[in-house]
Amino acid sequence: MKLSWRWLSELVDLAGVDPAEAARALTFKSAEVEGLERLGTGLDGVVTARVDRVVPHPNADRLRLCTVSTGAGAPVEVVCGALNVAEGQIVCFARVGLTLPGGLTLKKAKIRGVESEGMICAEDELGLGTNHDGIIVLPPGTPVGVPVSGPLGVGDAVLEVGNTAITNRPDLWGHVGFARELSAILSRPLRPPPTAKAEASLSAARAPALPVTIEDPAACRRYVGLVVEGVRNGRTPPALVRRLEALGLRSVDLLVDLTNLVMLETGQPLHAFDLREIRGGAVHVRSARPGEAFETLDGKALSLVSDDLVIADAERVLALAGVLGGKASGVRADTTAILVESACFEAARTRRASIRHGTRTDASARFEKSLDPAGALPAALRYVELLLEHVPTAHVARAAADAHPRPFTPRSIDLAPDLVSRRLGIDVPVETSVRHLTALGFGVERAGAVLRVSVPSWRATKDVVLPEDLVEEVGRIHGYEHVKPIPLVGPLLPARPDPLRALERRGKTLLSLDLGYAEIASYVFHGLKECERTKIDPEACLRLRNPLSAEQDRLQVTTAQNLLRALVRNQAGTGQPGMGVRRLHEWTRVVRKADRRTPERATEIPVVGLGVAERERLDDAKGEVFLAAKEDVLALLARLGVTGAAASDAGDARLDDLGPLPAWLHPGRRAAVRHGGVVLALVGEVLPAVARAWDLAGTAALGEIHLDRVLAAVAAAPATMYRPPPRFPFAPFDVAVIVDRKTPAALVADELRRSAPKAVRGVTLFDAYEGPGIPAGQRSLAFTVTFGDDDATLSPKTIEVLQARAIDALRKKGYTVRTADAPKK
Amino acid sequence: MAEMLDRIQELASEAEAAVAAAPSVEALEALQTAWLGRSGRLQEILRAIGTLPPAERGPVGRAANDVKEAVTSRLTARLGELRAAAEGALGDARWVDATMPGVRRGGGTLHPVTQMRRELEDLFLSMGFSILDGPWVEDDRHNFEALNVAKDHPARDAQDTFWLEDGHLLRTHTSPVQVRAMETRKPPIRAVAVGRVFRNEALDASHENTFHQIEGLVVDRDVNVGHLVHTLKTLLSAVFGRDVEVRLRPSFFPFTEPSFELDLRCLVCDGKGCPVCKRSGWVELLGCGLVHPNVLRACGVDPAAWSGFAFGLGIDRLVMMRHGIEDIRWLMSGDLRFLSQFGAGVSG
Repeated sequence: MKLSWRWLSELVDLAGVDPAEAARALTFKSAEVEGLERLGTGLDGVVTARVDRVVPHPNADRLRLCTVSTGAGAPVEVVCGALNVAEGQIVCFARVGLTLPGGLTLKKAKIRGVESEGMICAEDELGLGTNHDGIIVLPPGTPVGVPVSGPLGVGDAVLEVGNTAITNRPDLWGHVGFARELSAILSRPLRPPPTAKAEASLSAARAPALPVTIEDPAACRRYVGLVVEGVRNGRTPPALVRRLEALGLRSVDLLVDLTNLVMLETGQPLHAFDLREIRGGAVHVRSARPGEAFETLDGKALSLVSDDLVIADAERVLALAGVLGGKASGVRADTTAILVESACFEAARTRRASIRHGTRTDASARFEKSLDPAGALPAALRYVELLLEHVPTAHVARAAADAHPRPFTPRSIDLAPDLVSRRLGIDVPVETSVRHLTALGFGVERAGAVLRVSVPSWRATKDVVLPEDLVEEVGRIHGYEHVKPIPLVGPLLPARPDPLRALERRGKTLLSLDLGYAEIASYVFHGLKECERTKIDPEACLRLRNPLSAEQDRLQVTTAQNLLRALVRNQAGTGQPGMGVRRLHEWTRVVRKADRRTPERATEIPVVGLGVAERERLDDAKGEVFLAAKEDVLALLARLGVTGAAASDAGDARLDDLGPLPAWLHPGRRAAVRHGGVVLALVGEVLPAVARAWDLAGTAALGEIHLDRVLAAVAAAPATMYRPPPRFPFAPFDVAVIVDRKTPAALVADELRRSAPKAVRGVTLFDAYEGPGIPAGQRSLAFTVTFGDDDATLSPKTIEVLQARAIDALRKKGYTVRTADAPKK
Repeated sequence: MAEMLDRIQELASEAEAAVAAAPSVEALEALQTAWLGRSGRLQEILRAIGTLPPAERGPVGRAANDVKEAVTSRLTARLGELRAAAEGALGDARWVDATMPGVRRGGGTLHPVTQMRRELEDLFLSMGFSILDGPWVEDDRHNFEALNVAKDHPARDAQDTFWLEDGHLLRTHTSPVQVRAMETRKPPIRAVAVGRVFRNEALDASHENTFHQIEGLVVDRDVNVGHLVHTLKTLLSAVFGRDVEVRLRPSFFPFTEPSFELDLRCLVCDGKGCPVCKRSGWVELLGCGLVHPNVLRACGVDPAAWSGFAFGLGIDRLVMMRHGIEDIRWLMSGDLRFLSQFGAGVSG
């Protein structure tokens, strides 16, 4: 919100105070002043002048030749391009040689062959705004030959306060509120805006008040209506226009501009109705009827709902309460009698209506902060006071309509005097608290051990309720610079561990620092297009109601699309060295819609996603990209504390509640990683069709680990129990078998282990081969089996028996045993 | 016997000649095995002694042992010479270009936000704070209402919210974690909530719809603003690796009372004024305050007995300040040309 320094100075004595100093004080004690702009500086030398004569320029259709006099010296000739220049006008004139606020120095120059002695100025040329529609025309009767700053009402400074800083302060949405703050901060007297003439006019009114009905007192705590007659509408004097414009409002006409000026001054929005348009002789504040039509003053046709509060007459809606007026009932050029509305509408309802109809107005912004009902009548009177200054014939014609179903009841708060010091951590004497509170308009009296603080009406609507609110009032005026750092003291207790965070920390370190992965972060939302590319069921994704775009309209159910997006983004073509090797990981959460397992709400599952696309070192034919990713998933699980997880083809995986197998998985290169029968992770190559859809060059593999399952597996893991290291030598033995090519090596290894569970201490695959020498559809697998005994060196005889048993076990499964040897030394 | 002694002498000179002629350490080591090993040539003689008549065994044995000792000492000496020579020549013979690339494992990077998170978490852990996180998909109560932001409260404007089709929302701040902490724990509480938050905002260089916050909460007897300032000064001094100066300004958040903005004296210009601090000498950094009694009450904590402070700041903002990143969108870009610049930081 913008504040005029001049205006503030009218409301509080600011003599000798620099605007910058006041802005700083407000920033540290009230609300942040985000900007300070000095207007109308550099206008020295620009004076008012009369346009004596206007003739067409001899050489240019669009230019005029004006004779201008300033009262001093002979009239001068000026070339002017503005369409609105006319004889008799009082204008702003800058003589040749002058430097204007924009930095332009006027030089004597010929314009289309005619010499111009100066310039008749438009707003932008004087640094007063961006308007270049025409020259500024001052009111008739403005003295000629005086500096323009007076008649223009410039030489002001505008302070801009951040709106979020005053969200909770209904009293700060007008100049009076800030004047009160400055009065308290600077200990300067307040000068409340006068309403004496209006009060006199009101008390002279004999006719009874216009009837007002309020259907729901909660929706409208107060409705004040003043009927003013003898009104004449017209243009608003330039000084007031300038004031409005400097504060970001546009001038409409006098009757409307005055409502806005009072709003800017007091914070209380007003509305002026043309009295002729109020039919049936009464005003009703009521809920709209569903579907009721209303045309706003800016010409928008609204269809109302019953939550909309309206001002209506006997026949129709006149205004959307607290938001904006209607086209039909607004003041016009020929208006002679008005109803000035000054009301207090319910905050939440006004806010809902303004959001619902997409019409945030200066009025609704104020009402939604919970305005002070006590301010309604003074604001209406203030309007009349200002009107009287410009239209002396105006007068209040009827008694004030004042429907006040919920009058302000004073509230007082008991403040323990030491609370201020205890909360701020500094010693604030009681007298200091009393002084600051009093300066802000609070009433303070001692009641036994406590201070009984009565809250002024303008702070009582919601802002100041608790003793803590008073602590803030005292603290800010006293000054937070007095607060000194104090170390926390308290019992030393161990921080509560967070197992998931610990997993994440260990896992990220392993992947990033040991295994060469880069950690990425991605959005949790994506759209239909990426679902289709990745073969994700779009209906499985929880949708956003208000997405930023169609590309980000649903939540992720997997990390696959994030990894693919990043792999593609980083593929060749960037010219960056090392881009051939891409290993990425992301720790995030996927969201599963509510279903019969969790009917209440969607489930968030913490996951880590791995993406590998590496073409330089890995052999695609052998599936090494897939195997590398799988090995890293296993390494990661081991690092996270899962011992004994094993990977196997995911094709027959019972994924229990993981859902169906992802459709992007390559059917021949995919693995489920299980631990204790539970699938912890899936890993596999990306289906070529999916890679194509993503424009992904080469081969990529993705893995996804469900960390909730990892946590459960780790929590269930018993502590490692010590086993004495072997004291007797092991006896290794190599064996090669021919099996069907899709028989998993792990299955064969299991057979070997089971052949002598106590004696087999290790089974390692050291070769896998298919090709010449091996029947088609089969492959050879070679293992080293290691036998051992805790209590003795195995005798040659025992070793022979164990080897025979191993071979026997393989043969029983129907495998062909190719060779069986004790390995060469 | 004489024949035996001659044979021993023969072996002795043969061995000496071989040792003298051995060109390398490896050759000598081979000789050692061939002559002195368990099945070496001298061992054969020694074994043959057993077949001699007892009277001859002494002299032959002694001669054999003498030769063995002599060969051993020649060999050891020669080995020493050769090893010394080889080591002297290592610099040339085994020279490797130190600028050649080695076999590298690793080379990955931790996201800069992760690095900053770790530093912050470590700091707070060391001060006895627990680290917490909560759901991303939140309900209205935890994200707003329990934080003193009722429906239709204008403060909701400041936090544009992503709403989900099922009526939930993506949390707009980490404050709901505070609420959950107070619901489930008894004071005293010292905790920080760290994690992702979401705002329905159009993206530009300084606005993201996804970013990270760290939010602190202390609830104890007579917690005051001085405690808050000390904690934040400690935090910021640790993050920026130097003593920092801070100041408080009044502000408004529905969930704290009183509420403050905390400014940091500009680290770029030391408060003299520069483009980074918009010539003010100060950088607005975070919001904080004493926990509003309504919030304490909504979480089942008695405000008459306990007070607390809370603060929240953007981790991304700290990352950007530290590394001079001018566009926040890099953080979510997944672009390795960006990410690979940060390595592991000091937090690995």
